[in-house]
Amino acid sequence: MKLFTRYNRVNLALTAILLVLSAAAYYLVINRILIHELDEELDDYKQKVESFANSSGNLPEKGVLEDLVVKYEPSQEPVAEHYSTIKQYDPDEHKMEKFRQLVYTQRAGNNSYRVTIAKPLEGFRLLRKTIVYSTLGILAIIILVSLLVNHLLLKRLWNPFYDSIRAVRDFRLHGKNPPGFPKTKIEEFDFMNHNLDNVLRNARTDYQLLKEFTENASHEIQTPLAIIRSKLDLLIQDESLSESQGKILNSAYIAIKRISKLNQSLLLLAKIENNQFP
Amino acid sequence: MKLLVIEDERDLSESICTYLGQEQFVCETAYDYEAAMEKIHLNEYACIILDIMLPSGSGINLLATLKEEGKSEGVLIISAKNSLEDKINGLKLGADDYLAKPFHLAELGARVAAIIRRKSFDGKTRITIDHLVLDISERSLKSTAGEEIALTRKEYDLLLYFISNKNRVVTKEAIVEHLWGDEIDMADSYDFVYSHIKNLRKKLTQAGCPDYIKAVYGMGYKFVISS
Repeated sequence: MKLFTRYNRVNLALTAILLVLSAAAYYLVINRILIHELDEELDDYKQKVESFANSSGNLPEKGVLEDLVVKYEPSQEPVAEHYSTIKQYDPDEHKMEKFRQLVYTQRAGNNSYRVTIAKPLEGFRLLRKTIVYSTLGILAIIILVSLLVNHLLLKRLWNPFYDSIRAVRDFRLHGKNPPGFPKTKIEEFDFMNHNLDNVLRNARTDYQLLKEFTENASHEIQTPLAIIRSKLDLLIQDESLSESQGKILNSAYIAIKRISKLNQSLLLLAKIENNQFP
Repeated sequence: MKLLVIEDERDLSESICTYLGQEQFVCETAYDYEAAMEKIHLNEYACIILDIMLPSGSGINLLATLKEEGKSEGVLIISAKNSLEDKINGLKLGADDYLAKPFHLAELGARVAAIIRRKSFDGKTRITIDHLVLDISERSLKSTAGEEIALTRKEYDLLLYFISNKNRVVTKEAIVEHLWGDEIDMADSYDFVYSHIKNLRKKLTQAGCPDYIKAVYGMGYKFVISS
């Protein structure tokens, strides 16, 4: 998995969670404000009913034009004034609707009534819908944008990184060309390239020194060996050498041959170890 | 015939001169770059033996100078560097042969002789020695009486090696290295050389030649031509 794919996944998950949470919070807050407004409206109406009842001793006519649903029921038992949200049949819309209602006891003249003032919660459905859809919309836009950014921008942004990796991959210790990292304006990649360049150059220098050392070492050993062998070659030309002296010389020859072979083997090993073969 | 030995190790230079001086060669020596350059310009040589690692300059430069001035000397590089690149580099620049140190003087003698043969006989590839007539290009051998002597490839190489180092002791291992190369490892037993020499000797004596090959006990062989 690519670094930014992973980052994007975490990022998107977190964004989604945050969005849902904020949408929920948003809904709750707005809900509260609206209900508060509604309750005040209901309270307003209650005040009107109260003032009407106090002045005339009767209850006012039910409003026709307003969308409030008002019920008066004669009741001896006083009820505590309370607000609640209920579901009931809405005759205007011909279906079950949510209503916010205020129930309290009103005295009018000598009678006591239980007054129910209810108002449909139509706006809330719309509010919920709006919030859910806008949240989903924003989420979709964020995902789309991040995918686009990932595909178009990030690929280009990461190009210098892949170029550097390719340059390192194609680098050969025994090659002649310098590693050649592309210039980049991004500080991190530039830093990486600079350090990689240094490391590779040092490695190559060390490798060259090692290579030279192995060759020089061979030179230093081969030359004295060449001298000894040539002197022996001259010595055996002597007519007056005895048989026993010849045997001694023969042993010396064999020993030189062995050193020479050993030296060559060591050189070969060094070469294989340095990967400078052939 | 004059040879120039350009070698900074005086001991090695001396050995080479002493060994090759026993032949018809006259050896001159140069121990450093400047002396070598001077001698190259002053004299003509049949062959130059050149060490490429010299104090105060590279033998490769000397070789380049020689080739630039169109000198016809044969050049044999002797070097402690045994890597393939060095050999190729030297031969590319126009050297005739490349010999890695440490070498047998007999091997050096054979190679110098080969270079001189190539350079100075100009198509005449016939060598006459005592009772033997060798044709280098046809790789044939006749006696002076005109009788053909059939030799195998190894026997022919062996004979040529002996002739190039005539009247000098050649060790068995030098012969092995020459004929089979450096890589061969015969576990220090060179008995198979003996059978080749025995066959060569038999063929030569059957053709009516004197027995040229003398065994030097414990060391090797000597190709003796009494002058």
